[in-house]
Amino acid sequence: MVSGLGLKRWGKTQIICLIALLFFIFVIFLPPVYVLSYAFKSSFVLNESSKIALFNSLLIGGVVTIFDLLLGLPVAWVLAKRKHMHFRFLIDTLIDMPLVVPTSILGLSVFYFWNDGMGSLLGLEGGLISKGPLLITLLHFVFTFPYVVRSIEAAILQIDATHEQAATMLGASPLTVFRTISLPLFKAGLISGAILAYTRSLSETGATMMVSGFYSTAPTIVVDYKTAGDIHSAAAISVVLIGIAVILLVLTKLLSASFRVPMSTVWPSEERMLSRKYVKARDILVSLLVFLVILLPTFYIVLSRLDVVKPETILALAGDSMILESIFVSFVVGLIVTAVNLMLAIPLGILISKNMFKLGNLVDTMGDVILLVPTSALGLSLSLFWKNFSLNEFLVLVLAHLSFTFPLMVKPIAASLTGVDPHLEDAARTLGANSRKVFRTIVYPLIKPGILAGLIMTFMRSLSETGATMSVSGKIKTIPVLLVELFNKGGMDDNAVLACITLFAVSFAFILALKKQEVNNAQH
Amino acid sequence: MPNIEVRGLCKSFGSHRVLKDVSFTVKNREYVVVLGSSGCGKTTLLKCIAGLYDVDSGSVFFDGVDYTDKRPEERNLGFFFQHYALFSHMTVRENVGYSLTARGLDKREIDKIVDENLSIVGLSSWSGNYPRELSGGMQQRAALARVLATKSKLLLLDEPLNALDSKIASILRSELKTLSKKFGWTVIHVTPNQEEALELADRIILIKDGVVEQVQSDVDSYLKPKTSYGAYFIGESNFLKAAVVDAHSVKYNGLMFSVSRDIGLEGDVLLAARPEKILFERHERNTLEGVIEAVHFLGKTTRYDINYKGKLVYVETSKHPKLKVGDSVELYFPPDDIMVYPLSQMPGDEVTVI
Repeated sequence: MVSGLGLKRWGKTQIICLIALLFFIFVIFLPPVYVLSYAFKSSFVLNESSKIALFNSLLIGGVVTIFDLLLGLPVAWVLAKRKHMHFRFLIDTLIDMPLVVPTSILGLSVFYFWNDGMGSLLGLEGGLISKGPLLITLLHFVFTFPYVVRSIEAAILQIDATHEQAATMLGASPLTVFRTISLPLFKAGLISGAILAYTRSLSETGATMMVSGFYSTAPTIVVDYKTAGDIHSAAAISVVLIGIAVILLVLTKLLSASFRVPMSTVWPSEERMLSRKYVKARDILVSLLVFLVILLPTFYIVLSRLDVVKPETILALAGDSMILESIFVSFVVGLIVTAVNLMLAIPLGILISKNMFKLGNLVDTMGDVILLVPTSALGLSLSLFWKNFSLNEFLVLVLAHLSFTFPLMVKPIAASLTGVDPHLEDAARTLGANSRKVFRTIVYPLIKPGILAGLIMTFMRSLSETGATMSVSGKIKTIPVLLVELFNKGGMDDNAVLACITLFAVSFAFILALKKQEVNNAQH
Repeated sequence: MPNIEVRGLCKSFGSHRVLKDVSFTVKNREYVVVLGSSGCGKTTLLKCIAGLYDVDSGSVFFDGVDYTDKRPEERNLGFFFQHYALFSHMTVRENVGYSLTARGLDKREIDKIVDENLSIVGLSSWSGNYPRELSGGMQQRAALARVLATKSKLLLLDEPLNALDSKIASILRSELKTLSKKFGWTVIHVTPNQEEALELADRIILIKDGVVEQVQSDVDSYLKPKTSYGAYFIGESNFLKAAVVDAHSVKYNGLMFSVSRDIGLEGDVLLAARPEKILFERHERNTLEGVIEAVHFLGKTTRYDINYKGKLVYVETSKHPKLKVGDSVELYFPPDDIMVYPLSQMPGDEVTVI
């Protein structure tokens, strides 16, 4: 039995972990799920427009997920299998961009692309696609796509390539190998990617509000209800959304275990032909679609409005106290949240990875639940919870951000801690290091990439989150919230666009840093 | 069909040249073992022959037909993977029948062939189990059955006996040999294990750093290896640096040594002698005096480390003379058993020359 950090005795580690755990439960976990208490109130009803909005969300999520899979599968395959492809680093980075660019900016960019951009290209007066379900679908497609690609790619990379080689040597054509060997082995990644994309589509609020027009989805109607003061209707649909998210989480775990891909029959000549003839056509089609539907809309705002980056507008922005203040608030909140979460995530990461107090799995799942709670429901829940304690608005904002960013911090840290071979810790102990020294000299260097990933993801999520922030903020506005408001009031002036481009650049810098780190790790 | 010809094969990974101009032929029904230390390029060689790696240059011929650019699934080879590569999501039956399913045979035919092959390897009662439920030895048999079911006459085996304990490995070794003769296979078997090579091979191809060092029959590989690396890697050898006197004698440390075979070299040479050929006897020539430094009882034989002027000579014998540490002994190198190599051809950096 390997003891790792010497958990047989109660020591400082245990006490710190316990404190972190209590803080986690009461400050991080409870507020996002507080709204569930409304499920037991007599006023719990789902009215007609809520039902329609919910149906819209479920449908859009389904359509988006199907297209994500159709396009994401070949992209993930190519990224996983062609490690020495030209421009691989660039493609890899570009595909992750929608993950880190604030969704409100994505919403803006996607709207400008499909409405104005394509409209003027095709000479259409009112734009090619106006606000409504189609534009929502296109937007959701953009920001869910990286989730699907990343999950599938990670799962494909796990497959021992000799399995595929063995099938090849047994006479299977590439398509047959893919269908009968690779797919069954990475189906778990496929399913979890699909669920991630679906729940993300189901929950996105801020950007959706920019492109929905008069069409309602479940998250936007939550905001509408809340603005109108109808807390009970808002709570009801929030509870249903959380319920769906949890059911999907459970389904993922069940499905990936029992779902079998049909593989007993093979059509050798047809599959052989398909493996060869249409590969080139497929690659070209996929590249074109990714470029046109994902990449171009994402970058459109930067590409089309670079004209605003000039001294006059920069000076004007410097004088625009409203935007500057919002940017300042966003960065301060981001930094505080990142710092607090880091202090919390290391002990809890240790707790999860060592399954301390036998609570590791539970805490991990609690984190998953927070991730799955739709942001507008989460925002509602947070605002309802923190209203009970008359706290200062800024503090509530920080506490809200702590909640929804925490899983992003703890996941990578716990994962890299789990990856640390406990024998190394034991070896260091036998060489005379105490537990603090073991952590500093052995564990910390090994989990540094996980910490860095957590830091960047937490900061970027805090900087970009819109839906939940909207629900808890009153006078103090973060930059994404301000942008959505300006946009919907028709007040997107050059200053606002410049702010978008600035944030876009910041996101790009962060993702580059993250990618470089990944590449460095891969080399070691 | 199968005779195989590999011509001028080169393969690099990045800047690392793994195979450097490898050529050899394998005759129909021949069992060839490719032997070499880990990292010498033997698995790469096998995967190049199978088409799993594209070659940088060179060609592979099966029965005189150039297969270099054929896809691996069209080569109709049986390939046995080092760690079996059994499909974890399929039962033993599905694994063994995979090549038949992939060819679109009908179910009844597949079942028949699978049953036949499972009974050959003795796994009939395990057909419904998943690979993880099988022991290492059984997994190895399942993988073998999967290769057998392809009905291919040409087998490429990548360290097939590696992960097994020595007892099971030795049983499977002899089964492999029996089966290969029974079914008339042509086999290329890759291993770092020289005993395995000697037991199984009709011919041994010895590879060092991506270059073919020597190709010889199993007996010649041991008794008269063409290179000093062969003398070093196949079995064991003591290496001595000596100066040529005439065609049949050399001078070592002022002592005269007779050599039976024609030396055919001049100046300084490298002598090699197997530990089990050296005798505890005194003769007029070919004799050294040393002191026993360590005695290792190995069961069938005993091995002595003998200090000769600060360097160690190894002697292995099955006669168990009652010698102990500190005893002075005389070592006789029979002229028939001395191999001679040019001094320029050192067997390896880690080898000590006495």
